[in-house]
Parts: sequence; structure tokens; C-alpha cells
Amino acid sequence: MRARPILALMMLAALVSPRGYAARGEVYALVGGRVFPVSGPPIDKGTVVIRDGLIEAVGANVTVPVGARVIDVKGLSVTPGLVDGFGGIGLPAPRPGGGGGAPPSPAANPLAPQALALDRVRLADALKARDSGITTALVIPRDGVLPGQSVLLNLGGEKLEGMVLRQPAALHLHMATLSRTYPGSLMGTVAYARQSLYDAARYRDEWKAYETAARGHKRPAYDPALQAWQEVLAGKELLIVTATRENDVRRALALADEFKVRLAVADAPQAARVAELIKTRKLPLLVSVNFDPPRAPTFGTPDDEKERQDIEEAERNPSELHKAGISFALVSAFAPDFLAGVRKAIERGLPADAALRAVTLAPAEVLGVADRLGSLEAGKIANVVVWSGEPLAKDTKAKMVFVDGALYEPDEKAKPSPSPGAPSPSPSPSPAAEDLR
Amino acid sequence: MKARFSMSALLSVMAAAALAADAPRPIAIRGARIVTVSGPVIEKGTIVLSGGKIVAVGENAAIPGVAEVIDGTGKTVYPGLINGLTTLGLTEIGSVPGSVDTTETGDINPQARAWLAVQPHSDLIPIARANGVTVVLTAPQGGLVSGQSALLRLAGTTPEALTVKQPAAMHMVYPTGRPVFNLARLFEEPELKTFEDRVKDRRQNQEKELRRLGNLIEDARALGQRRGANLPSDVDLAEEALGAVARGELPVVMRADAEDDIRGAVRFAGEHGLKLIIAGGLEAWRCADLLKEKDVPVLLQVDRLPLRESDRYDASFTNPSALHRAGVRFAIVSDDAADTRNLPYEAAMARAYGLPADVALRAITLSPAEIFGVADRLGALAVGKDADVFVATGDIMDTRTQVTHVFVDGAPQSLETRHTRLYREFKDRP
Amino acid sequence: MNALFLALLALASETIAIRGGTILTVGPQGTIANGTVLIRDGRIAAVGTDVAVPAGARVIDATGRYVIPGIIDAHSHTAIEGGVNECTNVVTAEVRIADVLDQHDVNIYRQLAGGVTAANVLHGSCNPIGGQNAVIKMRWGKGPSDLVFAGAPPGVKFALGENPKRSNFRVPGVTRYPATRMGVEVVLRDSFRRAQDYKREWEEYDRKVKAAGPKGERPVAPRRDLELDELRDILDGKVYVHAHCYRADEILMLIHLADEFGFKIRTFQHVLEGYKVASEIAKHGAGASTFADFWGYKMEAFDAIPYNAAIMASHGVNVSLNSDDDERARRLYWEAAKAVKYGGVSETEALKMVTLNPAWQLGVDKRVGSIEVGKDADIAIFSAHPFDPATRVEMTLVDGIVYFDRARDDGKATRAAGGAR
Repeated sequence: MRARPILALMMLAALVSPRGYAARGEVYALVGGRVFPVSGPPIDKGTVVIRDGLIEAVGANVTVPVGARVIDVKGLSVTPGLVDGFGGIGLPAPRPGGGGGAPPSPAANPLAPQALALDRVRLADALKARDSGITTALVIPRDGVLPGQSVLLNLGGEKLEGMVLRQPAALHLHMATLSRTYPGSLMGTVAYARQSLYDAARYRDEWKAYETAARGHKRPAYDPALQAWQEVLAGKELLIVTATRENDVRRALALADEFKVRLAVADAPQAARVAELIKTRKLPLLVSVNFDPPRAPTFGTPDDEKERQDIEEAERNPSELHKAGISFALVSAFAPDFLAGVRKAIERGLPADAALRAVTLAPAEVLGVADRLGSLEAGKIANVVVWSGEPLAKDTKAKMVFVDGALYEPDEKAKPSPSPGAPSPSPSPSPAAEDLR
Repeated sequence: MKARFSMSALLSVMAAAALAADAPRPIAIRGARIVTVSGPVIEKGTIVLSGGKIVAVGENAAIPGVAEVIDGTGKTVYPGLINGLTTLGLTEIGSVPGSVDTTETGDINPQARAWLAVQPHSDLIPIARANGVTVVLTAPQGGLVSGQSALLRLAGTTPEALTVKQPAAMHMVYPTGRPVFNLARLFEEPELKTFEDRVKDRRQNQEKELRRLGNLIEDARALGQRRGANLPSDVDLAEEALGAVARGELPVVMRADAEDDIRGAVRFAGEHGLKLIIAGGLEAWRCADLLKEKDVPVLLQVDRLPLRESDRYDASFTNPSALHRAGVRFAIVSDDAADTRNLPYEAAMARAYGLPADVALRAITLSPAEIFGVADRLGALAVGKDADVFVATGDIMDTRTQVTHVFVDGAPQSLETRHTRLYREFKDRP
Repeated sequence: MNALFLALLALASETIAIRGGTILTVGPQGTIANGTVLIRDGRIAAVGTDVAVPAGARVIDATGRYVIPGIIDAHSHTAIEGGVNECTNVVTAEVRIADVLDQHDVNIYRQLAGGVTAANVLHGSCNPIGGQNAVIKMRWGKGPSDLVFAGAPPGVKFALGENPKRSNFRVPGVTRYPATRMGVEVVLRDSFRRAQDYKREWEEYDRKVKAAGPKGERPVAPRRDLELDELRDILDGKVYVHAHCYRADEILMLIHLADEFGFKIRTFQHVLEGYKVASEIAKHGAGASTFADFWGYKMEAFDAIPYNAAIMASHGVNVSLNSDDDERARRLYWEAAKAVKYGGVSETEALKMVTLNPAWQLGVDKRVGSIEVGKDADIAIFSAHPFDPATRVEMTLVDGIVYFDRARDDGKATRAAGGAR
């Protein structure tokens, strides 16, 4: 009775959106494929049942519900949707670098913890990433030292608001520098962060005192930046520090120790060097696969040998961390091709199953959403990908992508589109002291 | 034997004649240790300077009656040191543009001639001279083709008086493909590129510059040929200047430090028929055999950091001894202006790290003279050579040694410098 | 954390006897021919000609060699990552070199190979008031916080003259005060006025808190300002000032300013015209850390003379010779010899200028700078007298651990030793 208009609407919707199918009420059963739940061992000839946007059942002997749309996935593999736990999916492409002269007008305030990535995400751009099997992305504001707060998005649906999994997801601090304004050096960045946190604590105390006894007292000033720090200061919101160097990890930990904040570290191409420290501190890691990010040229005689070694070290980093028994996520960190980066890590010794976990459950764990995402388990959000072959292998393509239980079929002709190739925030050079005796 | 005596006698006569003509008195330094460089050390001997030349040197050299005699007991006599690469006279205070004439605008300046821009009254000259340096090569810097250098003696009131040999060489910089360093650029928004892209860019830039340089040289060669055929041509100072280079008449000092760049420079010189000298040569030890094979001399500064992080810590210190073992010709240079006086200590570092002491001394005397074609006049204590001589209280490579006398062309030089004047003025200020 | 490290370090170090060399102690024992230095638990346990060597000790044969205290470089920018200068704001006392030490800088190893065992790693000279320095020991292979010389008094870098006033470079699009030496003084004066205000503000807050008692209403504390914390600590004499300066008049300016605000300059750095005002420097009680003979590169360096060290020393100033350069830092032993050449400083006094004098200037002379019983075993062994033209460093020890051994260096050792690779 009621169903009919809804059915009509659904059919209409089906006509209108050539690639997507309405999710609500749909039940799917993916049958006979090689299923990688990630939370458990792979299942040959398994079945995954999706109902109403959630995973209903996963297993070798699951009964297909009546009325389910059965999809034969024999010979194909089925994994949780991939999670890019740190990147620029959906953000506009970067402006080309300066290369001299006056700086381009700043697109964003580089010191604005209150800025929201959500305000800058373009829906159409974000959804392109889905074609490669990415169903969830942490979109971080790209530039600056305190670029703002990220949003965790599920890459499906018609409206941006509907895609939000967590907002804000985390507050970001890049261990980077600015070229002409403070902080222009790494030590400046550290000092800036510390001063900000002291100021944020005082802001809290000021407002608390005022709210307790407003009468007779002058009211404190509102400061959006200091306001933005409050949840981090209270230990409720995650602070993600982007670490380009080994010691950035130490600097991040020192900051966490001084202010008792919840910390995760992203990028970290040299993390394996401090594996013991990471283990002891149980530091959540979002390890970059952007192994050769765009950087500023150095003026001194370049040591090509060393730079090549650094790139190789970054490529082996995931495998070394794995050997050290550390759990970590692999993230794009603005790499032009996320999956190519993951494949490189596998090529350099990271076992394929560890790699798969690193782009599904591990990022969910780091970002605190492992109870609802990241593996094929009953009750979790139905983000599922059906692959043409072995997941993460070179020629494997995503044939079907479910986001929140809605089925999307990537265009066969179109190449899986890479995540926007935005440059990572890399440290800008500061004047050499040798020239300032 | 007899010939030498006759020569000595002849020169003594000349000396007397010179004296009569109101020239500086002959000078004899007696009873000193004489390090000739071109021959064995004379443990206790005499050297006589007259008419701007060395007229006698030996254990028992005769001293002309009219000579001023300096007691050299306990002292050591050396040939004046030759610093084979400097900007001395072209620069006074590096940060003050009005006092700096090392680097002309633009990349291609073969027609720039250093000796015409030298400041003979530079405060830096007496300071270098006071520690035994008597001749330097002063060269322009920068760009692709920097200009022409000259050998200068460190005594004289006009550029002409200073000039020993001009031009000495054409100076070039082997293109590395890297952007030129400039303090202001540190504050600009950098253009971000991947490593692979940056390497590619560098290579492309390098190839472009090499083609450019090659074309310039070939055009200059062609012009020379046209001239030879008496055909009219436009006067182009730059092309004219490069003509001598193209014909191999004027050597090219090319700055290159990385191994690939040095090999590239040697290749380039081969392709264009250039007579090559390498300046910098920080990784020369990595291609010593090639340099030996092609007989390419190197002007080395020793007090430098190794190029690569993975290099042995003393790679730049052992560079000279590695070249020496391979039979490569080289001179040790300061590649500086204000630091010229420390030339002997660069040689000392090479010596501490394996270069035989006599070779180290030769590297700052006779070797640069040979490389620039003035070994007949300079770089050793031998009869007939220019009287560029200094006297020291000991081994000149020992930092503690004092220089007591300096002679350029036989004329005694004041050891007064800006520094000694300020010292006297302030040492006893209460 | 550091105390634990040092304790573990002590347990890890061997008992070492360096035997048979000429020991230039730079201390009251003077020069000891054919002497022995006994090292135990990272410290010098005995020095002399008849020192008993315990069984099981590692013996280093120093016959024909010279044993000297490890060289201390009082002006260094080695081992810094992410920028030596916070070259933006005019006063940046809040930034800390200790936050950005780069333990993998191969120049640490290269300087060990030049006999250097400790260095004063400074902020650059971009600002009239720069950041906090870090005194480090060259413990090649250790982590960044383990490089720090525990117990070395903290300090802040000042800079006077051409660099902070940006005479020789422009930042495109940026106009920054000061542009003259007048403005440099204004910045300093203003900073210390603010520091005095800050000090008063906190003293008043402390009074209020005390008056309120444990149960009373606590006022909100004043803003904790990391920059003013340092300036206040300078006023209170808790933090050293290392002031980069050149011209005699600016040296006098800073002495007068410091006197007026009631604090001391610990060292004048570069201080190339120090010889013109040596008595004033001596009277103020500051040390002077200068170049042996590097000069002429700037207008303010044009009156520099290599006799600077000798003249200042003869007026009673504690003088050290420094490098300010990774390359020069490897040959400080010959830089010291220049004090002998220029001005006739005695060889012992000259050697002090790169050992005990910089140790005093950095407030660590009770721990290092000479070979004396009880001090840290920071030692360099040379193949000949350190001033000899053929000399080479053969071995360098820090805290009694051999961090450089020329006989064992195969080029790859630098990588293996350096950091957790």
C-alpha cells in the first residue's frame, strides 16, 4: 500500500542517478566470493548480507534472506571499504607552488585551529575517490601549521551532511613552518603550539570563572582559535600531529606529555626508527604512502644519494613497523595515487594482509570508529567493496562499492581516479645562520 | 759549475749596475734554512736578491759587498707563496656591494677582465702578503662564463704594476642545473616538486646550459676562422674573448665539485678542444684516473666539508693526497680574498692527512706556477727567478710561525697592515 | 630522565687508562709528560705519572701522543633541524633549540674527529632577542634529548648590529623594525620593560593567592607568556645571555643596558671589536667568544683583527675561540694556535681558549674543560701537539666513551654509530 509510491520513487531515483541505487530497505547478499572480514581470517566462498545500510551477516554458511538481491561474486574478492585515514579527498586541487616573487594570496589562514575542512569539501570531487574502492576518508585541511579540524566522511549519498561520520574528527598540527610569518622555524612551531595550549587553558579558566560568578566581573573576550582547542585540551578530541621527521614523533609526544592531550601521529616516514618508543607509548599511527612528496628545492649542493635513501627508507617504513609488531594505518597523505602507494609498501615487504588491515580496520581504530567501521562484521556500517581480483593487487579494480549499504558501480571505462594530488605541507626553509653571523 | 758561477757573477755585476741606477739594494739572507722547492732543502745557506731576481742561492753563495745582509740564523727562507685562486683585489667587504667587483650581471661575461678592476690599495693585500703570499690568481666569479683572471703580485700601486700575467685563464662554472643561491629566495614561497621531478629539472637545466655554452664556444671558433679569412664581421667582445679559449690558447678554469660534474667538464672540454683546469674539485679523488689520463690539473681548497653525508669525514682533507698518488697535478688554493693569508694552513691540513710535506709546500708554490705557465719565473728559489721570497721563524705550515721579512721582486715589503695598526692602537688602552 | 640516562651511562662505561702520552691538563697539574689518565664511570679518576692501572681496564696506548681536554665550541649551529633562526618576530625568546636538535647531523661526528666534545648550539642572529640555546655533548648515536649537557645553565641568544637590523638582506614584502642600531636598543629596552611588568604582575598574583589562603577565591592567573618567562628569568639572573655583537659602541650599549636593568651578559659572541673596549668587558664580567682570524665579510667585521683574543685576554677577559661553522669547528685546535701567532698568547693560554675558557663561559667548568680528577672524561687524543702542523685527532672520548677512533673509522662507522638506523 504505502510501498507502491515508495517503489515508484525508488524507480524514479534509479532513473535519475545512473550509478547509484537507493539504499533504504534494500537487502543485498553477496554470495560465493573470497571474503576478507579483516577482523578474522579470510573466508573462501563466503557470503555477506547487507540490510538497511548495515552489515547483517558475514560467513561461510550464511542463509540468504528472502527478498534479498543476490549478487554472485564467485571468483571475486570482498573486503571492507577502504579507509583513507588522512588526506585531501574532496578538497580543491592545490595552487601551483610560488617559485618566487610575491606569495599568492593565502587561501586559508595557516594558523586557524577553528577552520573546518568540511567547509571546503566539494561533494563531486570527494565521490570520485570511491571508484578506487575508498569508502571513507578523513579530509584534513591542507596548508599551514594549525590548518584546522578534519572531518570523517563516508563517500556516498547526495548531500555532504549525510556523509559525515564525525565532525570534527580531529584537530591538526603540522610540524611545518611558514615562509614569512611566525612561526618560520620548527622550534617556532613547537613554541607556538605550546603557547596556544597554555592560552587555551587560561581561556578555559577565565570563562569558567566568569560563568561561575559573572556578576561584578568583566567578561572575557571570545577567541575562536582558543575555543577550538578546548575539546583537545579536555582530552576529548584527538590531536593529530603531522610528523615529517623522526624527531617530530618525539616532539609530538612531548607536547602530549606537557598538556595531557590525546595524540595520534600522521605521515611519519621515519617512524620505524622510533619503533620502541611508539610501542611503549602505544602511539596511534597514520603512516603515509606518499613516499616522494613535493618539496622545496634545497640551495646547498643536493645530496641525491641521501635523498634517495630517505625515500627508500620511507617505502620500507611500513614493513619495518610491521616487523616491530606495531599496528598502524596506511594513509594517502595527499599522494596522487593512494593504492599505488599501498602497493609500493607491499612491494617493500609489508605483508598483503597487514596492508589490507592498514587501510581498513587500523585507521578506524586510530580515529575511534572501529566499533562501527573498518571490517566486515555484523552490525557495522555496510561499506563493502567487491574487487575483480586479489584486493590491492596491481590490476585489480573495484567492481562494486557499497557505502552505507548503497551500491555504486564504478565506471568500467574510467580509470580509478586518484585522490587529488595536493602537496603535503612540507617544511619551508629558514635562512641559514651561516649567513647571519 | 762554471756556468753557474758565471751566471752568478754576471748577475752580481748587473746588481751593481742596478744599484747605480737607483734600484733597491741587493739583499742577502745569510745562514738560514732555505727551502728551494725546486731542489733539495739547504740546511744552512745564503740567498741573494738583486735587480728583482734571485742572483745566488746556496750553501756558500757569494754576497755582494753592497748588499744589505739579513741574519737568517734559526730562520727559514721560502719562495713567496702563490695562491692559485682568489678574488683578492676584486672585493673588499663581501656584504658591501660598492666594494665588490667579482660578479658581473648576466651569465656570459667572457670579456670581463679582472685585472682592470683590481683595487691595488685593498687593505686585504698587505694582510695576505704579511703571511708570505706574494702572488695570487685573481678571478671573477659567477654565471656560466665569469670572465678572465690574471696573476697578480701583491705589491704595486696600480693594476698594471700588480699584473704578472694577463690573461691567465677564462673562468667558467660547469652548470649543475641547480638554482643559484640567493638569500632573498629563502623567504619566497618555494615551488614544491617531488625528488624525481627535481632531479629531472636539474638535468634538463644542465643540458640546456651546456648546449648554450657549447654553442658560444663554437660561434667564437667560427668567428675566429672568419677573421682569419679576412671577412668583415661584427665586433663582439664576448666572442673575441672566447676565441682564444676555442683555439686552446687560453686555458679554462671550470668550477666543478661533484664527480658527475667533473667528468662532464672533462668531456665538454674534450668535445670543444679546451685546455681545462678544474676549480673546486671536491670529488676529484673519485675520478683521479680520468684527470690523470686527460692531464687536467685541479685547484683545490682543502678546508671544506665532504660533499656527501656518506663520505669519510676526512674526504676533503685526503683529496690532495689521493690526487698526488694518482699523479694528478694540483695546487692548493684558498678560493677567497680575506682568508688568503691562511693558505699555508690549508696545505698543512692536506699534509696532516697524508700529503708529503714537500708536496704540500709545492702545492702552494711551484705547482700553481706550473699550472699557469709562470714556473720559469715564480714558485721556487733558484737563480734567475723573480725575487719573491719570505723569511719565517720556522715551518710556514705551522700556525705559530711568524713571518719576519717579505720581498716581492726583490723589494722589501712592509709587514704593516690594517690589523697591526689597530693592534698597536688598542693593545694598551687602559 | 636525564639522571637515569647518566646512571645507565655510568654503568655502561668501561674503566680506561690512557697511558704514556703527554697530557696537557689545562689545569693546575699543567703538562705531564709520559702520564696516565684513568677513567672510571665516565669521570676522570686519576691523572699523573704514577697512576695505578686496575686489572681489567682497557688500556689506550698514547705513547708519542698528546692528550688534551675535549674541545668546547662556544658558538655552534650544528645539529639543528627545521631552521636555525626564528626569523620573523623581533623577540623570540620562547623558541628552544633543545626542541629541534638533530642527532643525525653527520657534522657531530665530523667535529668529534676534530676533537670537539661539547658545543653551545645557538639560535641564529636574525633577531635582537632570539631563542634559547642548548649546550650539547657530542654523543654521536644517542637520541636528541640525550645530547643535551644536563646541568648546563640555560641561556638566550641576543644579536646586535647588521643582522637583526637586516642591513644585508631584505625579505620581500616585509618591513621590520629595527633598521638601525638605535632601534635595536629600543627593542631591548622595550623587552625588558615588558619583562619587568610581567615580573610585577606575577608577583602580585602570588601575593593575592597567598593572601587568599587555601580556601579563598583564586584569581585567574596572569597569562603565562613563554617569551616573557625567559626575559624575566634573565632579569632574575637565572638565564645566561649570549650576545652576538661586533662594534665597540654596541658592546658598550648592551653593557649599559644590562647594568641599568640589573642583569649580566654572560658572553659576547663574535665581539670582533672587543679589543677596543676590553676593560669595559672585563669590568662587566662577561666572557668573550670570538673568531681567531675570520674577518672582513661585513662592514662591522672590517675592524676585526686576529689580535682580538690576545688583547682582550691581556685585559682580564675570559676569552674563547669558536667556529660558528661546521667546517671550522673541525680545526679549532689550529684556530687556538692563531692566538699564539697573533699577540703572543702562551700555548697553554691558547689551548684554554678552546677548553676551560668556553667551559666557564657556558657554566660547566666544574664538569669539563680540563683534565682534572672528578671532571667528566671528555678527552681528545692527538698524534702530535695540537698546534703541530702534522697533527691529527686519533681518538675522542665523551663521558669516558670512545665516540671517535680514527683507527676504527671505515667511513661506514659514521652511519652505524649515528642514531637508531
